[in-house]
Amino acid sequence: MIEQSRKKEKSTQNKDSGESKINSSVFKLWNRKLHIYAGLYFLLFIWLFSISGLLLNNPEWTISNYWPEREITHFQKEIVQPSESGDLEIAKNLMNQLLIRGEIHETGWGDSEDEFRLQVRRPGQMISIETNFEKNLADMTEIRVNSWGVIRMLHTFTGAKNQTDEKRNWILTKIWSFSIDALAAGLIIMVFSGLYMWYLLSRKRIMGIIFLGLGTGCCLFFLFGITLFL
Amino acid sequence: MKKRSKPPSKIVYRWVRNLHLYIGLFISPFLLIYAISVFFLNHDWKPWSDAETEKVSYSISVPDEENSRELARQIMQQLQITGEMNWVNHNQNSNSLSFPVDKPGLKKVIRVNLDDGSAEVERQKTGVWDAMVFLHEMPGSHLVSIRGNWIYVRIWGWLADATVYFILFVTASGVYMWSVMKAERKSGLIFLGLGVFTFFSIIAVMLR
Repeated sequence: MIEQSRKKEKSTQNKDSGESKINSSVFKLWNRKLHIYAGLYFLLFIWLFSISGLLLNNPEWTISNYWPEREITHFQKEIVQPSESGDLEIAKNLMNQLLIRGEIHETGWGDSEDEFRLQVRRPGQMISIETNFEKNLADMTEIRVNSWGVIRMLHTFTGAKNQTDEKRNWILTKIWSFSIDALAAGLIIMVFSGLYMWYLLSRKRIMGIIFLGLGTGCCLFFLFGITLFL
Repeated sequence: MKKRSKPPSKIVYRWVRNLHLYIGLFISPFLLIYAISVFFLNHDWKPWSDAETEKVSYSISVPDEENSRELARQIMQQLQITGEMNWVNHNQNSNSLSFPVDKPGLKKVIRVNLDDGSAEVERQKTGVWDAMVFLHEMPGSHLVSIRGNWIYVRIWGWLADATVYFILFVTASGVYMWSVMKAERKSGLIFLGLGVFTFFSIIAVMLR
């Protein structure tokens, strides 16, 4: 009787450990797949932000110095005074009339009620518009930068620092900003899935601890150490 | 018995895999700093903006110096303040000097009356999230002429550049390792294709 119950217990234990082994190997498999697929999906995004990060960090490089090579164009167009109220709505109406697309970065009024100005931005292009509703005219200044400038602007194009009532008033700014969040989340996932994969490699543990420790030490020193001790 | 040597492709693969692993581990904490701070920068969140400030007054001997930046540097030495100096504002009318000095997680503003040598230091502890944002943005492209005036910001700048080169290596080696894995080729291609499509479609529509 005791023998039988022991056997039953053992088989239940085996079953449990078998199930947990399957669960753990399924997790290992999907963790690995997630690491690979996230890396492949975000590959171009990672390259873009890495290269643009280098450009931002090294303004003395010739290719980073795109601003002096910018092209400036001035032109004038006829407009009709918008019937809307609210700066953003007026700006959107004017952009439709002038066939301009982009994120409205700034709006404002001049000395009189007939003078309205706005600035529209998108990677590679900035347009400043000064309108005169009395004369039905818009004076426009367009600034265009080269491809390196576009790459650099993509790094910081979030619409977060707009001086308007609505942050991210262009659908593509919203999409790009969401992509940046997704990339950040993807990187965090890749870091942790990579750490888990390394943890499973018992033969690489010591060397791994040394490299991870070096990186962690550097980061902790810069995050806390230089403020606390220097 | 003679030991059979491994084919060169296997040796290359093993080296690439080890380098991918160890370099990846080294840059992991850097990537976390950059990735976490993205959420604050992308949404202009500043949970530290309400952090309390404290003001302390000092009396200093005003250095005989014409150059505002050098004057600010000498004042920092007297006050034993270290950190990355930002834009120096020398107000000729009131004969006063003010400049911010930042460190990860700590912001200071120094205001000096150059007539009587009275100095006020405003100090704000901004915490770890702001420290991450500070490191994300440093050295950056603003105030090029004075950026990196604190040695630690210069060192961080080199580390930030190194992180980028390591990321480029880790991603390229990752693609290489995936390309030799037959089992993941098809599904990997789908994800790579989806990523390429998303990336180029957003950029193409934005620049059109």
